[in-house]
Amino acid sequence: MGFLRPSAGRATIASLDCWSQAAAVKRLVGYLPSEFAFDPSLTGAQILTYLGHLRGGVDRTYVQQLCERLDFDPSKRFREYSRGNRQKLGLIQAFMHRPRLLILDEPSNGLDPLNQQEFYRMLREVQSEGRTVFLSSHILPEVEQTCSRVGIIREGRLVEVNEVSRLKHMRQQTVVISFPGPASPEWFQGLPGVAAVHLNRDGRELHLDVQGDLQAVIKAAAAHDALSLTTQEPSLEEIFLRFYQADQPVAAGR
Amino acid sequence: MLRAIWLKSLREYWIAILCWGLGLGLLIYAMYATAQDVLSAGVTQIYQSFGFYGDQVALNTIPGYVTFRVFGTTLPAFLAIWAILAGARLVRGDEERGTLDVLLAQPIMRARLLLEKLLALTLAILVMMLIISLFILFGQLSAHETADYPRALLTALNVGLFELIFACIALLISQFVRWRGAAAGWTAAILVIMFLLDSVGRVQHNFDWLRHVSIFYYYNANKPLIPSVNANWGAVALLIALTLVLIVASTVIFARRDLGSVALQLAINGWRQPATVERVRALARAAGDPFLRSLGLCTLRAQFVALFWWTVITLFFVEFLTALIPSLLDVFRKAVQGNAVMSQLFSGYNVATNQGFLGATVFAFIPVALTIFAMTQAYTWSRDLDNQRLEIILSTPQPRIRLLGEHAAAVGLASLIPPLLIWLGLLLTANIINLRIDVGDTAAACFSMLPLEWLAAALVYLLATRLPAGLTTGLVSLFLAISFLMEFLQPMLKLPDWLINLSIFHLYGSPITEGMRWGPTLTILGLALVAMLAAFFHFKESSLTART
Repeated sequence: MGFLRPSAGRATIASLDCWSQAAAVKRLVGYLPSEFAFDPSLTGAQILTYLGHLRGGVDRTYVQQLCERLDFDPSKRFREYSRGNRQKLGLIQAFMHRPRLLILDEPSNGLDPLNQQEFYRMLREVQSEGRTVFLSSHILPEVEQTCSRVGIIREGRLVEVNEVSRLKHMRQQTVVISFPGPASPEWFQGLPGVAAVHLNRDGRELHLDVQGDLQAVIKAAAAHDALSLTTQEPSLEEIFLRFYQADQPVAAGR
Repeated sequence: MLRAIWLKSLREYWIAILCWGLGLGLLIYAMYATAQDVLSAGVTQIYQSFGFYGDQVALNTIPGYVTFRVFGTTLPAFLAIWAILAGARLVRGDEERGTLDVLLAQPIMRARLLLEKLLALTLAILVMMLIISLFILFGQLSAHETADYPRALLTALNVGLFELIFACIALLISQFVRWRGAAAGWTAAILVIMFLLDSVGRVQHNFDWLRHVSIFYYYNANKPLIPSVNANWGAVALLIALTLVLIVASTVIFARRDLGSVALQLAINGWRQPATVERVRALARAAGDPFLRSLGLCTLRAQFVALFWWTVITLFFVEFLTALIPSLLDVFRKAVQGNAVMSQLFSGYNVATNQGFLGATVFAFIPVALTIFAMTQAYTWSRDLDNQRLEIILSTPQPRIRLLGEHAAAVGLASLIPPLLIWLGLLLTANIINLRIDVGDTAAACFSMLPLEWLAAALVYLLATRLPAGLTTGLVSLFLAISFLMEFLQPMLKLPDWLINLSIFHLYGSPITEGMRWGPTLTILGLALVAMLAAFFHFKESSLTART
């Protein structure tokens, strides 16, 4: 976006250099900062019109539609808006010129549940039109719901970038197996992909942490007359927390 | 200091207490120290023509002179700027910041919160007055007067009561308006009206009754420094009663009104249309607004109110003094004839001529005022960079240089308007009162101020690329203050040429009497250009977060 001068290397968006071709890059991008601040004396309508002019003109009908979809009143002054309304204004100005790339920092902050759902619908429309949304969020269920690829940053370094589905598949899942009689962890220890086995208190249920496919585990469970086998796929939150576990080394970015 | 609201509030005032107390104290001391010389030079002849400014009681004595020059209008009105701002933000400031919600979520009664904050403000004024009373005492000693601390203390307390009243007026008004700026503005207007009522009543005896509705009148009813003036306890009681009424009214209203709202909600918006209609209407209205087409135009609009008031006040000052020339010129001529001390007072200007008088009264101060104006306008850029208001603007496909260029152009254009109107106003007034002044020299005096304004603005833009807004303005203000003091005190300091030429106000010189000084003017203009080019270069090349 041309905000920070690179100390080394370069960043590009659509093959354009973010520093030396910043103006061209900004034409393609809709941006929402984490704290949306503006001249407090201007009304929402004035801010949208002003930013529209700075962008070389935008479709006013589309701006009006966005206001209606997010139930935003543009007639008030910026200082009179609540946090949620400021966020709506920020989202409208980011979407209003139909950018090829949206960079949104904590976009659903302060939005009520109804507006959150409308915002997710807007995101899906952008995605279905082949445009890209680059979203940063601490609300991982939201990321899981809206994003196809995620990157995880730990201590300032990108430690993982992957499809959400592949990330879940690649990461450990919990398998719970029930038996008619006393079970032994030894039945599963050493099988391919099995990282840990815990015996339940009543001695008839085993909890396995498994990475990769479950073929060997299913076969071993069948061999010991298992009654039931359930798998719990980890949420993105659990995957994220595993990256942040103290013993997890910081890996090089991909 | 964090155990109670009033202690925490008092802690926030200590810088103001020290700065205002010491600053005004030094002014009082300087006035005492020079009083005898000035009185011997016969300055009272001149001040007798300034009846609108204050009561002329025992003007030929040191206490009378100091009361007239400092305690009549100057000091109370000057300090009222701080008192009004403090009163306006007492609770409205916390409401605007959203911190009052947190405070009132604690088990504290609203009335108690307001009264504790007011107690802190009262104590701050009291400490300030104690400092001032000590400087009055030092002044008395320096002027070889009898040291009379009780009189000094009573004088300061009288000022303190005046300040407390204006703080309380601002506090009461802040209950009726949404923003502290509006409360401060309305109270400042009341201050000006009170001064005008008192002045007109004093000068025009037919309108003497006007004085009785002015707080200045009751404040000036007591002149504790002057032994021949008896104490007027009725006036003090009236001022105390007024303060109490204001406090009670503010407390009752604050305890009853909605937080973040105002005491009287007037239905001036009328009937609101359905949301969709309002939406379309607001967007259509904004679409037709020409000032939203670029950053430059938007900056011009944002500057409009400040530009209006700076222009009105400076114009009023200039026109007022110009209109006085016919009646004052003879008085000045007699006062300065063969009098070295009086000549020094007017920085070497020949005040017996029309243009010399304008040079000593108008063009010794207006360039400083307008340079400060340009600095405050450029400050909005650094402030917006600091509080991230420019982040969204900088995310639009506009080159950085263009954005900075448009802001600087708007400030440059705005700073052109006051000198232009002052010039036109001077010519018009001179024509009306049949006063002979040189069109070319007045143009030179007015338009030579432009490079000064542009240099101050360019320095702000340059420093803002690296430093936060507060430090930027602080450094540029310091440069302007030193420049002004060097030039103002040059007749006494006699600084060497190389040093005094570092003062931009010395380089400005006295074009009203000497005509256009192209060399120094172009030098300042060149410096402004260099500073602005450096600002462009640094802003283009620097990261937005590197301003620490």
